[in-house]
Amino acid sequence: MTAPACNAPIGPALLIEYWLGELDETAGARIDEHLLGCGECSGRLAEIVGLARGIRAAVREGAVRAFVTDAFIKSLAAQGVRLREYRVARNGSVNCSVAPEDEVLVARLEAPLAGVSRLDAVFYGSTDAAAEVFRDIPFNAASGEVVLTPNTARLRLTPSHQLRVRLVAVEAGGERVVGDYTFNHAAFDLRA
Amino acid sequence: MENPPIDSLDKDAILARRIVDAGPGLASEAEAELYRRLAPRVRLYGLRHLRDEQAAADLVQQVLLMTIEKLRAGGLRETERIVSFVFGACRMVVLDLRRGHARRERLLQQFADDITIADASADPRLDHERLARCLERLSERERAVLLMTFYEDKRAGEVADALGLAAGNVRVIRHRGLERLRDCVIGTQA
Repeated sequence: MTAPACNAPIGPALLIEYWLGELDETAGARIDEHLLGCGECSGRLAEIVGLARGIRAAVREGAVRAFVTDAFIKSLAAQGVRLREYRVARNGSVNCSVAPEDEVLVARLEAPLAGVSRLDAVFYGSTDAAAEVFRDIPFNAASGEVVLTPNTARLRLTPSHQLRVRLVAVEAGGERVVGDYTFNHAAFDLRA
Repeated sequence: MENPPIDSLDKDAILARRIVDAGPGLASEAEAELYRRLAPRVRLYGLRHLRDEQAAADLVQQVLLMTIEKLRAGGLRETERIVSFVFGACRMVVLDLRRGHARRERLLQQFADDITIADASADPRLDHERLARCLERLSERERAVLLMTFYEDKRAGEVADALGLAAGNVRVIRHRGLERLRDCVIGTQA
């Protein structure tokens, strides 16, 4: 037996706007009532809510790498997430590690970003493995920094190594290196 | 969107009619089925308006106990209006919960002994490792926008301000990213 079909399904974009409270009161109330009577649309909203919950869990577990903003890091701290932050000057380096109690690592790469409209990040490992290029990373030019949360859960399991990150501005005339950053990662030694 | 989904409403109304016709406490199967159908929807309403799992669970219990009691007492003769009644009850109880006037205990003492309480969770429990792998497959902007949006349920305008983008642009990235994430999590590639 198939599930009853909705004769006026609400699209996913509108469901997201509804969930985030972006609609006016009247439109929101119309969707409230529709969802209470509609298993199909409420099922789709439940799927979105499930994904949102999964995203929150992934962030809290440090299981996802992302370029974010200072405000986002502050909201993690405000919610009690245990952070370990490293600030790296332009063309500088830092010794870093992940302690057992750390939930999310944060790297702040200082960079002159005025006038930059597109930025790529290139990761070079200490082995001969090919560089990884992350194109069009998000940043706020006014902040003067790029904020990276690496996959902390994965890094926790990684042996000591060196990672170099290069920020590259992509401009009409070509590419321009904004800065190089070196992370000397030491695996956490529980015996120390 | 204004038109209710007829088939779903019919089913709810049929169950409500059975409860009304049977008399107090004599249609336990219909009550349990109605509860099972409505609980996930009421829970979502609660999550949307109260942003708290426990408060949403309280809302489910209060609203559905009120609804079933109303039906048992024959106080809802037009059973096709069951969803309107539930909607009104949701609004009222949310206001009460916000004011801190919980009537949960009183209702539970009065009616809960003979009503089966079902699990109202409808949103799928996802494999978090798979979801994390799928997040890494998104573009950098999609991933950042989804994290910044859904970690604290931020509106497009707030995320746009933080990233120096237009709100409309954030909505497009958000929608596209969530669709891709959903396809990856539910699909076979992760």
